[in-house]
Amino acid sequence: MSTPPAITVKEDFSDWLNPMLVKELRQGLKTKAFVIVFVLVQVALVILMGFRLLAQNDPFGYTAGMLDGLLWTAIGGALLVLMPLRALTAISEEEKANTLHLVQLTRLSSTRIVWGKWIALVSQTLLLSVAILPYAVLRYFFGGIDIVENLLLLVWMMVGSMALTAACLVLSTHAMPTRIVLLVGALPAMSIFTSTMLMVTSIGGPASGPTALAMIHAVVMSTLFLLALAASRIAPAAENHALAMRMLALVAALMATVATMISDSPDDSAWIGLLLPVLFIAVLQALVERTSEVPSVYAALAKRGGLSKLAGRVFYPGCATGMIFTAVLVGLLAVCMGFMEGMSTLSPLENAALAGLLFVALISPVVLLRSLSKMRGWTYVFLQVAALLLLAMGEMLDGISSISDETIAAVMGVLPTSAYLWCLGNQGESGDFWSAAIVGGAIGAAILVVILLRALREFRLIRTMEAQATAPNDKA
Amino acid sequence: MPPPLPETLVSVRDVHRVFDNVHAVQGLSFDIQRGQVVGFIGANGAGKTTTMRMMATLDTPTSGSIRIANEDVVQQPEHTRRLVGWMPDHFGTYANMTVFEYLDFFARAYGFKGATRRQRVQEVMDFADLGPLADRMMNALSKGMGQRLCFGRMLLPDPEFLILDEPAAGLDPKARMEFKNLVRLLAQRGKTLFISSHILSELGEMCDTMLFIDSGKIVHHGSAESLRRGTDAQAAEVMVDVIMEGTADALVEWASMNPGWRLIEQRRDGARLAMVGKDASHLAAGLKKMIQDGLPVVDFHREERRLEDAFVEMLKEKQS
Repeated sequence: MSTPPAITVKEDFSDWLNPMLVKELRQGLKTKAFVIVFVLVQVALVILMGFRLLAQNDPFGYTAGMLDGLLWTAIGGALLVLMPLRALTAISEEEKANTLHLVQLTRLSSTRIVWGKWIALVSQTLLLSVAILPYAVLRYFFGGIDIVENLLLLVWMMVGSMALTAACLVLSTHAMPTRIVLLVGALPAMSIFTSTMLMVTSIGGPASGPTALAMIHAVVMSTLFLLALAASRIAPAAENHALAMRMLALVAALMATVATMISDSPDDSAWIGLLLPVLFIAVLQALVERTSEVPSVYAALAKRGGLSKLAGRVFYPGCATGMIFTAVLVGLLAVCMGFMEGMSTLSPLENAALAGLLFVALISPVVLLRSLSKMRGWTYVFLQVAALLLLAMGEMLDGISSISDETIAAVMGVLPTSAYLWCLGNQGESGDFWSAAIVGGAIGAAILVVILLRALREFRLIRTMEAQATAPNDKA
Repeated sequence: MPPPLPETLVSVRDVHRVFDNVHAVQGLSFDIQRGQVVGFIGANGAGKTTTMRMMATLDTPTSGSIRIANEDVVQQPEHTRRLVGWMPDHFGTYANMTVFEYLDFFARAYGFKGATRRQRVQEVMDFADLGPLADRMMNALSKGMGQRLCFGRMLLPDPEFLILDEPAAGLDPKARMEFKNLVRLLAQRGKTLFISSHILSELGEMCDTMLFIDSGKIVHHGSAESLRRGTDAQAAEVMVDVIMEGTADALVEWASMNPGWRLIEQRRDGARLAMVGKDASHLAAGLKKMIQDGLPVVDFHREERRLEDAFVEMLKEKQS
């Protein structure tokens, strides 16, 4: 072999940086997608600034207003659409190219891989935002601009972009058809989320108050949860990622509950309301996953003694522990709802009935998932959507037919999910509320018994796995 | 100071892997001793890659156990990953990344820092002769260069056990030679290598022992020589390559009519035959009989039994 002279190395990134971040930045800053978005935004902003300068002579300011709208549309499009969408292929491309496995065999954990990719993408978005900043400031000299409000809007867009990038990273761990379905399904939700944020911040008042705090809390916790979810999807079978995801969901719900308790704002429902999509994903994930048969998954908690093992009943992966996790989460939500300004009219009994119904509504689809090896998540969602359709039908009948309200309410009770939502929508109408609650509760209780009997077998498996995880290693 | 590695570095016991309705690996059991170069041979779809992926912690057995240095690969993936180097049959390239950046990234990922990292990357580049390619974009590399880079990447953490899945597939003769040299060097350094291929001749000269897999089951475990010798009946045979003037049809017909002769492979102008008998007198008698029977023989010579032939025959025997 020839021995070439030693390579002179240009140290562009420090050692303490996540290696995946270094790699992504080296690649990302050279990619056409970033360069094109960067140049296009710059060109669009230069042109808009030119027109804005010319529009100074417009006495009514219509043209200036329109140009400002265009400016924010361009910035919003780049930050909230184009940049997050780059994450859509972040993991899938590595899987397709057979490089993800090579990275996983190094000392990089799946969590560090996902975080590295996310930080790299967000850094590029940040770079774009910094490049946009001079144009936003320049408009201040044209007059009629609230610079603080504008900067706040840019910050919100940046924050929204971070959460959307995390969501796209999760999508990138799915196969292409699933990714498309989720993206199409998630797009309206994403639009509602971002436009709500924009409305709140551009109006001014509420964003500076508790609602802004609730939004920051929701965005931060949702982003952390989504990154944990993405990491779990590429992790080896020997790791317990249910722990991180469930812990984050519970912490987020607990913080929202405490904030609601101490808040006197009429908008305190935002604390838990904005978290609902992520909490639903956490519950879905917990209820559709299988109990692991790899003892090392249990080792971390099982080796720490009794209390830690007890915590494992909530944080080990699998549907059986997922039910306990769901119960704890629903309990927190019930406490939270009890303190909400709009909900305080409910009696403690009604509140407890609602919580019970919500629990059985969430777990009832599990009764049909046992025999499925694949598509458990989709089946769960499909069953919940079926319950929503039943509810919609009930609402229509309620409006047009001569059937008594109690009868319709009882029919709604056939599915616990429709029963819960019916009760939620008919608070204060005692007859309707209790008809649906009693029927839904009875059916839900029957389903719960079946699921619990099955869960006992899973808990036996968990005990066996714990015993194996704590047994001295058998050196064959 | 890490504990010394056990003599039996890899122990695979009754491993099964089922994908939906496909039973890809069916009860594999074998051991690999420290310092051995082991060939893993089987047709495409025989279960080689699935087995190797499970050994590299990239897949999980449906049942059975794989232990590397006494630790279960499913229970202790981190322990396994410290010992194992994995080279897949197909490795992707990163866009917008040079050879040096690629190795530097993996060196960082393996935990090398500062000057140690630079030194390790340099060592690997020297070993795999990647120095001249340092600034070349990865997606501009030839197949052979790419394989060398993948090889270099695998060597970064200095693993004890190297798993190479079809490493020489698609390489030109020069790159194949270079690859064999690299394997030889690693074997000299005491590394344990597990190399898969569906081309036996490629592995025959490199490996201490070979595992033959078919339809997810081990069908033979031994040296190339033991396979070449085959069964007692095969050991009593000698291989003969015959070239004819004109077509080989008459020769094929002659072999089918004469007891003690068996057709192995027919070509346009000749055939390879197996003949019962080992010594020169048998060979001379065979040639004499051909000429007496009027076959236009222009070349007749004894041949080593090819590994490919031995493997195919063994499979036929197993199936029958």
